[in-house]
Amino acid sequence: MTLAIMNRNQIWKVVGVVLLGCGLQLFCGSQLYAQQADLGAADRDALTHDDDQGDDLHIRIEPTGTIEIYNDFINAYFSVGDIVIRSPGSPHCVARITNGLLPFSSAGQITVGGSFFGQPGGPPAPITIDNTFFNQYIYSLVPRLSSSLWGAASR
Amino acid sequence: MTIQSTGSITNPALPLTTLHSAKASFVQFLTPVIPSSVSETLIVQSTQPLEFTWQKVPGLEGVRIAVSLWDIGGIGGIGEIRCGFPAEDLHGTLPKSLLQAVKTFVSGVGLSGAILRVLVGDRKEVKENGVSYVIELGPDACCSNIPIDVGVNIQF
Repeated sequence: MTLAIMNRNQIWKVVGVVLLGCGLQLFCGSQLYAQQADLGAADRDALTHDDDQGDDLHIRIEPTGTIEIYNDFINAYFSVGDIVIRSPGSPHCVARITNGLLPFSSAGQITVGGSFFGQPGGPPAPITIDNTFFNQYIYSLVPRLSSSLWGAASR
Repeated sequence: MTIQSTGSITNPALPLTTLHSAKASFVQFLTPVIPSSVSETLIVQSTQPLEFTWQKVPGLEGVRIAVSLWDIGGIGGIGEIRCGFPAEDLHGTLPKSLLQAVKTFVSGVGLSGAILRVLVGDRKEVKENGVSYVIELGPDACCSNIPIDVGVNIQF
């Protein structure tokens, strides 16, 4: 769902549209993913368009997720749709806005493999993580920490 | 390190994605200058880019510096800016355009609290199929002179 490619001065004009979009997320829920899949080439072209104004921003509503993998702790959470902002001049960065009221969403089961986690040597087999009641994904080598976060996980 | 998810009706599956941990043992950041006291916060001006610079050390090849400015509060929402800079560049910029955009969307006024997290390791954003899945990898303590979570005040 491409909302706009715009100069910063134009952002206020679409804030209302974005808020409406957030409301539609609440209303439409799971249909959002399917709608985005239907956007096709036109939106992709719009996203890659650059009119040589360095401050132009690409603003969309997209399913988002954040996965943080530390040496002793994994934390992940997903959203059905946040405002996602990218600047063509800063390909290494992305900004995201959540309204803070929507709950986390499920992203199925997460599998993490490799030797980094729990170094040295890593776990004997890939780690599978299911979502908690609050749709947060937590795996810790410190059981008490994991337990406390399990109960505290909420947006 | 590999990661993937099966997905759900609302969130598409994360395809098998590979990240790499850092070989570098310690990275010394020159900027931003982190307050020495935990009771002090880093002040970030939303009208200026936030510059990160660090010294060259062996083992930076293929490493990324994951910079997250998150939990940016306002009456209109909660914002975050997540970046992953190639460590070999020895610098990275969190652009003011994104700081200003976050300010607008969260309706930030005056000072807003936030948290800065810097990891030495790897970071990817999976964008295929219209999603934004950010994956950050790195030890949570050991590998730079920036503590794991630094309190920030953003001057809107």
